[in-house]
Amino acid sequence: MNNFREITPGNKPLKRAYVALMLWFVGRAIEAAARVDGAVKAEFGGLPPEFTFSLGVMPQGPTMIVGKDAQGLVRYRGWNPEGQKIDLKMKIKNLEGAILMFTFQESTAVATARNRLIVDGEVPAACAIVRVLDIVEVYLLPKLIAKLAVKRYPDWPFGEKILNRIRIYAGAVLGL
Amino acid sequence: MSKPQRAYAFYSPTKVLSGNKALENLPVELDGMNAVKPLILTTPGLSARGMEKVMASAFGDSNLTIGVFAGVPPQPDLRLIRELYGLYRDNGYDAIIALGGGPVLDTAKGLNIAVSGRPEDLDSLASGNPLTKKLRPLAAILTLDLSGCEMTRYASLGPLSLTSPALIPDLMIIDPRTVPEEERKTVAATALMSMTQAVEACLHPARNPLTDAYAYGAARFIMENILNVLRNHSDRKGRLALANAAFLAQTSFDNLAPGMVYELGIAISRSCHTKPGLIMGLLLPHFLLLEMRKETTARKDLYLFVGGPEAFAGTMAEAISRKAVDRIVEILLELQSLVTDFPRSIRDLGIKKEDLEGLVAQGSVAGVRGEYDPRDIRNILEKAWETRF
Repeated sequence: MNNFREITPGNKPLKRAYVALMLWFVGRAIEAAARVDGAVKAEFGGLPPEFTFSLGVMPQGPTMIVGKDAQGLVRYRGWNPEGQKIDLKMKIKNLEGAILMFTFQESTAVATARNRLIVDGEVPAACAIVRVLDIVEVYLLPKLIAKLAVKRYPDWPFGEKILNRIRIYAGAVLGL
Repeated sequence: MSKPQRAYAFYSPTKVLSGNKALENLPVELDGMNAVKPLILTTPGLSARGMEKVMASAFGDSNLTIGVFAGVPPQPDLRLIRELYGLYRDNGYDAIIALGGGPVLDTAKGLNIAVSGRPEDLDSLASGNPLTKKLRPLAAILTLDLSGCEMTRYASLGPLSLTSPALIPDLMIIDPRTVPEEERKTVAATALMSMTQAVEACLHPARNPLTDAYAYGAARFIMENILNVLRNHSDRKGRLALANAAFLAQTSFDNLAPGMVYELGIAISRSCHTKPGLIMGLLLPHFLLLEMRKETTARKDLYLFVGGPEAFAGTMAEAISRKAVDRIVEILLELQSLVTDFPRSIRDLGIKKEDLEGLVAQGSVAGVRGEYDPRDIRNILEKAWETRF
């Protein structure tokens, strides 16, 4: 038949690699932030024992998994959900949506409002994780960019913010 | 308007995704409808404007294979449906994506009936038998070259007129990349068609709070964006608003019987091959003047729809009905100044005075289903023939 053809759309390896790197970094930063920031610690404290969540991109990843261990400490658990009991799955519907979020063109709250995320799990837990992601982004990003990425930029004491930022970066990059 | 006066029903099964990167949601949405291999139908014109590439990019990283048929003609017929039926079945497709307006949606709806059962089901439906099988997923991606029936239960294929609520697309996507610039005349015709559907829904005797809400949304989007879209080709948000308006207007229209202006516009368009939206624009002011004179059906808040809340609030009660007509005429005149060969009267379309009686008969019998007095139809047609805007 004229005017007909079948297309197998290609992949987007660079965008995928960027999102994978960001998820790896944010996952490790959440682990570090849960040690140094009281608000993040409190958010995880309110979640059930051994609570685990994933944040990934549909249909085939990348994904990050973060959860509490038996002692209640928050751990980054890698990218592979296989064999892990995950209580809350937050899935970004497509790679372009993830790029909008991780290039900070859209905050997590805005992305949720624009129907870019699917949440499989309890809504209060998802709200807690969105708040944690907001706090972590404030630590990781310069104020100018973080203001785009979070719902409301917090008014923290400057010294405390810088000290915590250094500790979170050290934890995320060096695993300290 | 504050509470429903009587029992009513409203039906709109379509999930709407509108805005930046909305197209990228297609793989996930199809997955949610148990579909993994869609067939995209579009026109050669849209294909030549790079829409295939846009679609391929939207499906990037999804691991799905898509089929693209870019040969939908302006007048699709049953022969095309039979050819596409074979193509769909032989290649194992399980969903249809219609990219474009008018004939693309007509083809997609017809093909969906055929592939969800048998091609003979089209004749059966056209003969008045209801569809017995659930249809396959159908997604519509609207442009601004529309017939006014894309998101409704209606489709026509050659001599067949198909009507079933099952034909309404399951999903509609409006993405800035798939609402490209169109000729001014095309955009004006689509906007006036949507405006007509919205205004007629607003004045319809069977209107309800939901048709009112959809009609209001459509009217506001059109009135606030149409002139800027025509003046400024880079107004992507404006184009998106007009495509949204088309959906809103069509949904309110779909929940009510077609109105007089709509039916007359379609009937005149068949005889003079002019876009029906332009003709509806010429008829609409006369219809509103007629409605104004009827104490029983007139509604005072029509100006809220066409003028907006601020203008409505600032207008004296006794002038408010007249202001609605004036605002519609103002917009019509501005559109005529922006679109070079916009007709000034239905006389300009080659309609002769003696043709009007035939149109009155068409409008009375086939069109407006006995809801309007033939004298009203004659009155509107005569005024539209005599008046040059």
